[in-house]
Amino acid sequence: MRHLDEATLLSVRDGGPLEAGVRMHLDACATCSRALAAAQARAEAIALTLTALDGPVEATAAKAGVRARVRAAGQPAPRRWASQHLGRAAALLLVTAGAAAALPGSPVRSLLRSPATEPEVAAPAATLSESAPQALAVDAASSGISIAVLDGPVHVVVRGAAAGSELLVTWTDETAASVRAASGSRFTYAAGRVEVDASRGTVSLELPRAATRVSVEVDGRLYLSGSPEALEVAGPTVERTRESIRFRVPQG
Amino acid sequence: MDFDTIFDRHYPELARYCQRLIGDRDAAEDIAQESMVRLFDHQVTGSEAGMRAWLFKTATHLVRDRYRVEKNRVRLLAENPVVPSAPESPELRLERAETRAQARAALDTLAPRDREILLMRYAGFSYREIADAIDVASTSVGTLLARAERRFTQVVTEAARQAL
Ligand SMILES: [Zn+2]
Repeated sequence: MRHLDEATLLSVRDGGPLEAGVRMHLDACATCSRALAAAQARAEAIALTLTALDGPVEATAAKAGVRARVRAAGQPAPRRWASQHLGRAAALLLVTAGAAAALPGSPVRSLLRSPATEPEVAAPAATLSESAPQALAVDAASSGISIAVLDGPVHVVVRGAAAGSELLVTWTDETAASVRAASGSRFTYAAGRVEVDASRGTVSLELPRAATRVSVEVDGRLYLSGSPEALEVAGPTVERTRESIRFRVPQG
Repeated sequence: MDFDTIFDRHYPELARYCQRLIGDRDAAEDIAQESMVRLFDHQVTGSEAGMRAWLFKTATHLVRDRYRVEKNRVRLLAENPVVPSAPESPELRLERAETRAQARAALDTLAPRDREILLMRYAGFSYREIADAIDVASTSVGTLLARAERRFTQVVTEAARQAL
């Protein structure tokens, strides 16, 4: 008697179509029914083991982020989007100035440390760090971080912006997005996303023209979203040119 | 279905699948979010099961694209494991951390396609859905899955034995 092969057993175990011949064989053959029971037990063990990999999911923050990024219904997608891969997006993190001092080691090493374990970079009084060879020259009163973006999405979330303070968005041909704020601001980063808690002073953003999608949110309000070519500006602008947009944070 | 319903129904599970696939929480959520954005941007419609399959397929391909040239990065990221959510006793936590490390190590020994097949199967997809998501013939899924399960079980069992 020819026994069922493993693929057939697994298919039966996993609820696949059960041919009459297979069913008859299983009814008659102790070897194959034992093998099926063993495959069932193995599946239960694997399922249980895999749950050890499951961590918490931040669905609320994620939902707000996704909502902000989904373009208004009916607006056509930029043509380049369809063929684009996220693959090259937001891979490398470079930390500038004061923030670099808070992250020992090379920029690449700091990338490889999990943002989940060290999500926040508290920027002390800024001093240019020699250990960060690609650090941007920033003025000593501010600090910031820069993430390589190439052509992926960039999302910036600003929190705690003081009424009357300004947010300056500048388009750049660079492949990095940079966020700078007053010294003492706190930065949080993850692939493609930068969050800054800035209680005073101007927040400056440099966003790559090549980014497929950008969004800037200030204290829960979406200031701009879309692609650099098809931008929706919803924040309180005080000045807008081809190169930059300046917002002023309103009262309340 | 509206945005909230679709998001609430699919996102947590999709994010967990991505965590399993790449082992880094932030990277996983980023991929899951990108997949959700694309679902809405492409105005994918149809049955709930179809939407779910579309999301997992998209996430799988995003992971492939992102990590194709960064094989080592996946491994390095895996050294920063995702933390469990529920409060646990110290003993349980330790045991869980060991299981997690073993599961991660075992997944990392699989070829990427075998890993995808295994994780999609254990996310509850049918062989046909798996075949469609990862571009293999549906007749091959059983054989590939059997190989992935054997290998995974073997590595986990071996690691557990050594830990005793
Ligand atoms: Zn038999």
